[in-house]
Amino acid sequence: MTPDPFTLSHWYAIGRIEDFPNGYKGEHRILSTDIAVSHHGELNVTGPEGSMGVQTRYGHVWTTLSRDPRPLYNMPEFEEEGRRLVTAGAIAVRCSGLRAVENFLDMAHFPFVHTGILGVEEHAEVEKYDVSMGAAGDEIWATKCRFFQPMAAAAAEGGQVIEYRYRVAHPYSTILYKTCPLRDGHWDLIGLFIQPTEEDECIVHSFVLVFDEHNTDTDLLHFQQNIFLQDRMVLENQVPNKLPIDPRWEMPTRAVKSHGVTWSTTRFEKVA
Amino acid sequence: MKLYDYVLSGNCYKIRLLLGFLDLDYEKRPVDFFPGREHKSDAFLKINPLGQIPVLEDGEIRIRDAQAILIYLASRYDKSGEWFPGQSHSQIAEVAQWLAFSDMITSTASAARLHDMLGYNLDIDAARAGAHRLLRVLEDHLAHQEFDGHDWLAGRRPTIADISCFPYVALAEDGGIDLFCYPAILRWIRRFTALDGFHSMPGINVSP
Amino acid sequence: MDTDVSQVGWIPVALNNAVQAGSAIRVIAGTDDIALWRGKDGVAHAWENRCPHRGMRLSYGTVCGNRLRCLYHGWIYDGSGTCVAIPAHPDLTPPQTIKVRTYRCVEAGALIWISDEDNSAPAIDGHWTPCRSLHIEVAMPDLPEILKWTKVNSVRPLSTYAADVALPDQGRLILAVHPMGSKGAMLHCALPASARRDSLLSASHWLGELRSRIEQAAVV
Ligand SMILES: N[C@@H](CCC(=O)N[C@@H](CS)C(=O)NCC(=O)O)C(=O)O
Ligand code: FES
Ligand SMILES: [Fe+2]
Repeated sequence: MTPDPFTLSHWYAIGRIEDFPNGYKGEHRILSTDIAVSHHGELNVTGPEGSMGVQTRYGHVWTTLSRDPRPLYNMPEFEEEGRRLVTAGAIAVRCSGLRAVENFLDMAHFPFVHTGILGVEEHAEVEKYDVSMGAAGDEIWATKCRFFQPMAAAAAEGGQVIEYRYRVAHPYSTILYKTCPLRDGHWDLIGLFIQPTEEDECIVHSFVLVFDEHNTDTDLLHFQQNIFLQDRMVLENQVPNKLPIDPRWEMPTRAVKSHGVTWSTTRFEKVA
Repeated sequence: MKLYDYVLSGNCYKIRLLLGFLDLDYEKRPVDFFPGREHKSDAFLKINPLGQIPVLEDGEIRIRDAQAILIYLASRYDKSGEWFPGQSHSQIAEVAQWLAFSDMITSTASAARLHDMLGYNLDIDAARAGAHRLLRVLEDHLAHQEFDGHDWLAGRRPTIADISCFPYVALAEDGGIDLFCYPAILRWIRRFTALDGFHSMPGINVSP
Repeated sequence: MDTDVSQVGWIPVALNNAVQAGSAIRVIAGTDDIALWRGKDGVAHAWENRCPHRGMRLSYGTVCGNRLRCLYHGWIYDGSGTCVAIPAHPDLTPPQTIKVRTYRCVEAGALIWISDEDNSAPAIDGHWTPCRSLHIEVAMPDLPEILKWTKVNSVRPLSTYAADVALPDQGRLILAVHPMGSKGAMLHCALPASARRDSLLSASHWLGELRSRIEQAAVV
């Protein structure tokens, strides 16, 4: 299946900047398409139709199959003083990238999948939260998400109710803004940049961008990878492994439906 | 005691498991194995010239290799003497045999996992086929142990042989290796996760 | 010899000790992915291996008493497959329509059998004990085909997939085979309940050799 125009119109992260040092040459894949990446003084990405767009941002290298891509969304937090960026590397998962987004947007699994870290079974209730379109009409935000967490971040001590905001600015990318346990009025960012390789396979690049004076980068890395690998086991065991467009599931369905996304999805009726 | 540790490493997990069973205090020194390849850095090669984790430091002693560390910890700190039983020569040999076997699991099942999960470039079909050959041997042995009324690899009680084989067997599905066709292995995994002092790692499903 | 095979619809998917009380496992039968679980009461259930919520394999779930709880968001299903609790919304009574697809599931001859149809379950006399289940890597040959690889004194078919056989060296045993589509097949073997260690071990070796012959024949 050829990707739908909306899916094709985006920039996709293919790795961390430091994974492509000068002299690098390698084969990669996005949207069921082989691409070649090389770095000789400058980065070059070549696809079946020749040279492709390339940019470095948010700690990663991005490319696109589109000749006229939508601009990559803005995260002004990357320019803020005092934050630390930790990139967690490329982790491959046998599922639709949209399934990985669905999982990331979902607090209800914390007590069961991230037991004792992001949730506890005694506090499994998910309260109402707000869902709205972003200012330009092309983003979805879920705000006022509150959840009790025993160990919300590597820097957290003891349980607390954490406020979250989720941002879906791109069908294969999602960012979580989480109240910073160290700085009032600030948010810590955790995000996924997903590289969809096939309709049912993806590579997840994740990052944390936080204020944290207690932990080393490696502590933060281990915390993040621990959580993500707990999710990976779930993601590889969902049937079907493409995303069913489920009318009862507001966030991903809105994001996917309003833009005519079909690649990497199945219609809900088929699996119900 | 200090353990050079990586959260996603099954070999480090072996050590965390035994330290947990023995209820010993230790300090973790997290290593950026992926994506940073810190274990291949000049600084780390001074700690382990093989460029591998785990490494354990206990006072002046520094030990590399998960199996060697298990032997060290069990023989030094396990007062019960059950994790590494030393009375019978044949049982010592039996434990040693499974410790060696577990390193073969590392080079097959763990390799498949590194390929599927972290994008390592290696022959995935060979890794999976090799893992299945070993899993058949393990399945036969565990089933035959059950005929003898034994729940564990080397006798009636769990030993470091079980600890050493457990992680990469239980994590095999991360590398696309199905476990559902090995019923005796599945029963053994369930018994293992029910042990007092057991703790999990991501990729291992523990249903109480 | 009794050749009446009326139970074509029943598939022996596991030996009865493959799933212990309070646990869940995954089995494949043909192309169906199935969660097989046993409540604390010992009753075995076979369900479609897909949570109606977000599709998580239910074989990863936790048995709570005589109910199954999905790993992903903790939805709880009773023995009939009906959802009875949604932890994210504790005040909500789950709609009756949230229901897992279930199979019929019975135990006989130390085997767990499942079926989609309404016909009666295989009747197997006597008491049996589980011996071994072995994976076959290649596509499953039919049972009569398999029996050609070994010396048998007599065969009493129990279903398309199982027979009560008497062997010159092993004596009487139940041999079953079940297809797993692209994943090959499983060979199961049960012995009379009186079997002790030596006969279990001997049957296990016999089964292993049988498997080798089946796999080698498929390679050539
Ligand atoms: N025989 C060693 C193998 C250890 C091993 O393979 N460790 C992995 C991490 S789990 C590693 O450091 N691999 C890097 C390499 O082998 O180059 C042991 O059991 O400790
Ligand atoms: S997928 Fe089973 S409870 Fe959500
Ligand atoms: Fe998660």
